[in-house]
Amino acid sequence: MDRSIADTAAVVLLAVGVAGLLLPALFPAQQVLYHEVDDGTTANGSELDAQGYTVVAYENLSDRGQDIYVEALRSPERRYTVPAGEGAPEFPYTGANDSGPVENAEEYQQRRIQSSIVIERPEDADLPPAAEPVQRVDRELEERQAAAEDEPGTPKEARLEARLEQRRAETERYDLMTVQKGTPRATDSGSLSRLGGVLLGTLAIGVGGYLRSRP
Amino acid sequence: MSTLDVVRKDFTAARRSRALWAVATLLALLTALIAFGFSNSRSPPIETVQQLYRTMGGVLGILLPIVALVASYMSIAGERESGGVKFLLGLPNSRRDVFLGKFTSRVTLVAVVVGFMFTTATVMATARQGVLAPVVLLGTFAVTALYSAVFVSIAVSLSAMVAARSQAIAAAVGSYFLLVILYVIPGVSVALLVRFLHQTLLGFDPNFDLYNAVLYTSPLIAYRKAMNLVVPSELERQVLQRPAEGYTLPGYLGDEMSLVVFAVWLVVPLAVGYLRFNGVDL
Repeated sequence: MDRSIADTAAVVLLAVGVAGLLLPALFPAQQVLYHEVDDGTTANGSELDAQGYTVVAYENLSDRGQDIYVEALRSPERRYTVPAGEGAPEFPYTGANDSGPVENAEEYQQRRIQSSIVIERPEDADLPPAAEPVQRVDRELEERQAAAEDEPGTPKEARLEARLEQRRAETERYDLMTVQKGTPRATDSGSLSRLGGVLLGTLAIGVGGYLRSRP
Repeated sequence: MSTLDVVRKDFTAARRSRALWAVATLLALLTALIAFGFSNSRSPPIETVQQLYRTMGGVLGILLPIVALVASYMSIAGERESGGVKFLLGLPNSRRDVFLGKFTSRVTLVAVVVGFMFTTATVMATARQGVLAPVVLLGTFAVTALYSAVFVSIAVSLSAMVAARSQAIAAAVGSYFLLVILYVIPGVSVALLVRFLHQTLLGFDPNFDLYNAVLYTSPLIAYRKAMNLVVPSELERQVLQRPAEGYTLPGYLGDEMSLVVFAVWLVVPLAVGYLRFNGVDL
């Protein structure tokens, strides 16, 4: 390669490299607010209130809060993400993030309570269905096992089914939404474009530096 | 010519190496990818960035000795094999000028590579997390540069003691095995060997201070301990063995002693290497 062309290419590559490294750092990713409604709940309002959760009726949420909740329910991932500053004022975004790492299950539960809000759904609301919590099977299993000694079709089993049905109806009205403030996910397009910029910048500096240094 | 001239000449020659640029670029890409993939949703961004540097230390502890050894193992042996050392010493340079010049040049070279790696990691971390942790960054960079200087010291000194490329390669590989591999692979650890000798063969009672002291002679262990000096207390890691709850390490096994271990590994190989180089018939 002609020496002057190589020198020019080296200078261009080094300039591209420095820009590739500087731009992502000068324009970093902004924090986002995550809302997840994937867990559901097996408890009713009074039980959740006793556990320390904040229980809010859907009608009492702000318009923004209602929008976010509905969008999260509609999402196939049951998650809705918005830029920081565009969340709902009643959601506890800072409840979990600024308290350091979790040491044990008790702390994890406490952190979960701090970063969640329980939404009491109206009885005849035209809302997408809440998540079916997987723990419900375990919880109902205990009650079924206690009644298993009775013969099928007895009034006791019928009473159990009625009680479980009533409980389902009660708990269906309560939905748990976990919120969190954090950095965008690695698969986010903004994150990937910053990664591309840094990798390109690094490669350009490597190649440009070599071309510039060689005899 | 003087030491500075040797530094300038050697640095210029070394930075022309395509392999060096390739390795530096690959390592910088690696640290950028680590910084991109590193996340902790349960920690605030500033803590996540601090944890990143701590994690990078774990990776660099294994990788950097390879870079330092490869960048330095032929520094003097190569000159001897090619006959260039006669030209260097034919000019008004003493053997000390050549030895110190080569060491300074290679330390600078490896420090630049380390700096490139930290730059890409920091840029990526800032782009992802939106924050900078300057104190931890500077601290980990300083400790890492010191750690790499230790291996440059070892490699240049070994290079000064041998006359052929094959011997230089064997010395570099051997030193990596003795100073790094033997301290990280479970089952062949130096500490276990000493414990076996002390307890099983000699029949003494267990002495964990002794085993830890032997472990602490490794630059790798010293590097891990030195990282505790520059990260926040919640990110400090237990590096040495703690046989029971309530066991406290004696003062000579504290984190600060890592700097003494570094100093010994910097000075002793250089002194031995220089003495051998000064007395050898070229």
